[in-house]
Amino acid sequence: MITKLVKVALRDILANKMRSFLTVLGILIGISSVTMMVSIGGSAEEYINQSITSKLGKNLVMIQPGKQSSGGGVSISFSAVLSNFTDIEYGAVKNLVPEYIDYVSRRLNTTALINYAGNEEVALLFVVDPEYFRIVDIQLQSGRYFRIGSDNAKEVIIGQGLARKLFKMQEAVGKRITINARDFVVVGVVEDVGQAAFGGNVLEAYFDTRTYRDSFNKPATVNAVVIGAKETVPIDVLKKQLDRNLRTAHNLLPKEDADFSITTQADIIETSATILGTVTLFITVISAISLLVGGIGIMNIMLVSVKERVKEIGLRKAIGATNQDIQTQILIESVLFSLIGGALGIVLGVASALVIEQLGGLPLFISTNAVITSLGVSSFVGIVFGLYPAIQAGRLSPIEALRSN
Amino acid sequence: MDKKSATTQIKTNSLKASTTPVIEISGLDKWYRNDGLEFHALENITIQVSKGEFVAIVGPSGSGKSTLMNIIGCLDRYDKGTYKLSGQDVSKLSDIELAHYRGKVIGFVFQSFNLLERYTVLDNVLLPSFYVPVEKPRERALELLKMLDIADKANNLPSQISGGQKQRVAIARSLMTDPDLLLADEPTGNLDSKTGKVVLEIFNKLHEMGKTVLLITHDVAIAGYAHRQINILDGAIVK
Repeated sequence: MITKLVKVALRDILANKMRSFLTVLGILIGISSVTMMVSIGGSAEEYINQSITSKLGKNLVMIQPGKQSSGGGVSISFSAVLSNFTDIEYGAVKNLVPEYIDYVSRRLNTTALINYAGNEEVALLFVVDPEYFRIVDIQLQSGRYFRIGSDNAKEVIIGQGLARKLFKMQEAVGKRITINARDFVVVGVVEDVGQAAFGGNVLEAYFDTRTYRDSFNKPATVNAVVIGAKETVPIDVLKKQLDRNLRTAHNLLPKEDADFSITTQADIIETSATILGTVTLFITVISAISLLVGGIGIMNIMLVSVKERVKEIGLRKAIGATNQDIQTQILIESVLFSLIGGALGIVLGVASALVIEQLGGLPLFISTNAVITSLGVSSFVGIVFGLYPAIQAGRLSPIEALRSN
Repeated sequence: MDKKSATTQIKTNSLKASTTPVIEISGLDKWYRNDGLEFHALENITIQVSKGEFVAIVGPSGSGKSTLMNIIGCLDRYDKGTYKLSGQDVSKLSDIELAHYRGKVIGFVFQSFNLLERYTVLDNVLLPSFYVPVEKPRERALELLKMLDIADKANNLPSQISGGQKQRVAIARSLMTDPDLLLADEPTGNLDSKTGKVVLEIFNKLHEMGKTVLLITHDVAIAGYAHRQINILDGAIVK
């Protein structure tokens, strides 16, 4: 019986191709956006997790100026942007080596004008301690990192993007470059860590903190203290210890709010997941509205369809159809509309997600949950919005229906 | 009509009317009520139609014959009296049971054919088998079309065939579930007189094959094709 009704419904849907297409359009758009956004969201989450784990190292802890947000993530406040650390915090943390911490490094982000043979580029300059490269996984392309325990004077490490810009195909290591009008030797080329908008690389260079301060006569300013925690130390224990040391260094009372934030890798993942989750939720809400509109469209068409077929419904009842048979037929048509819209939406959503992931250099990821949920939601929309027209059709009196024109 | 195939397809119990009643109506009344107004549509109707009979219910427009047909066809309920269809008291049937009765016991033939325009002739004939189990429905539908000389139109749409052919399709559809009673409401109303005669001849043949046929018409000449006439006027049977 159901198979027959599905065949009948399919025949009716195909008989009015344009109307059917317009009917399913709302569902198609809703389902495709859900599938696409959930898949891209999953892919982005995967990418971020991979990046955080591989680039930042598993045991990364970062201390920055500014209040800790309640969610454990980093709160970017105006005061945090303006304020900086000095070497006090670095000193307070360094005390924990080697009991809690393997490595610790200061980091200052600034920019510099770099010149080689008249070729001038503005680069992002990371002023770090040699230990930085032990904490953060930045692959060496050629040459070497800064030597731990050495003064690394006159030395600079550059990113591969900057190396290509300055030296084209030539070997960069050993070359002399001018930074802010002072001479330095390139001792290493590393992979770029930052990415500019539209996939281009940011030009990057690294200085040893001491070299930078000595060469340019700079004060002890630090943006962040980066820590490579000991694997054997539980992260909560370390966080408590860091908090204690920094509170002492900042002369904070026990109940006073901290003016620094301690961020672990888990916090960074959590923060990015929260942001992604919010974006996904936002898109899901929009998709839900689209599905609602699509569902109302289906209900509208089904009501029109019932009105158009009043006489046919009367005939079907005269030849043996029960109210339930008629209701089931209308409901099946409605569900088929939604499922066809849903299936097309999934195809479109998956295809769009794959294209966007490919173009964005993200790992290819399709959320099977999104696909299954989409199909479920489609059927649900079909049933919910088909129910009223189905009940209306089922209630038609066979005599009245047969008399109608 | 191909009689040989017809006799193989339509189960016949006897070629003559038996005394077993298909329709037993006694003291039946029907009122229409609307906005406090009451209209006595049928009054004290008593009819009996035996198995294998060919009966015409004749009456002018507004006489109540359509109301009576709707009640006989289990499409409408009545207010008073009794109605037994093939021995079953119809008033005791639920809506679902009434639908099953309509599908299994009655075959409707309408004045305006009521074919589904987007279905082929064959699919139109097959339609009752959606709701009532029919053994080998496709074979049966094709046999019925053959019996009514329109097998060559099986794959045509109703818009591609003539009025007379449409009524043959409707008759084939009414026979699909092998019902006890054929209920034809002004079956020649939309046909020219020549085609109308052919259709009435078909009913005559079906009656000869043992089918019980109830013809509802306003036309006394058409009613003449039936073997018995029941006249109705102002909602009552005229003796």
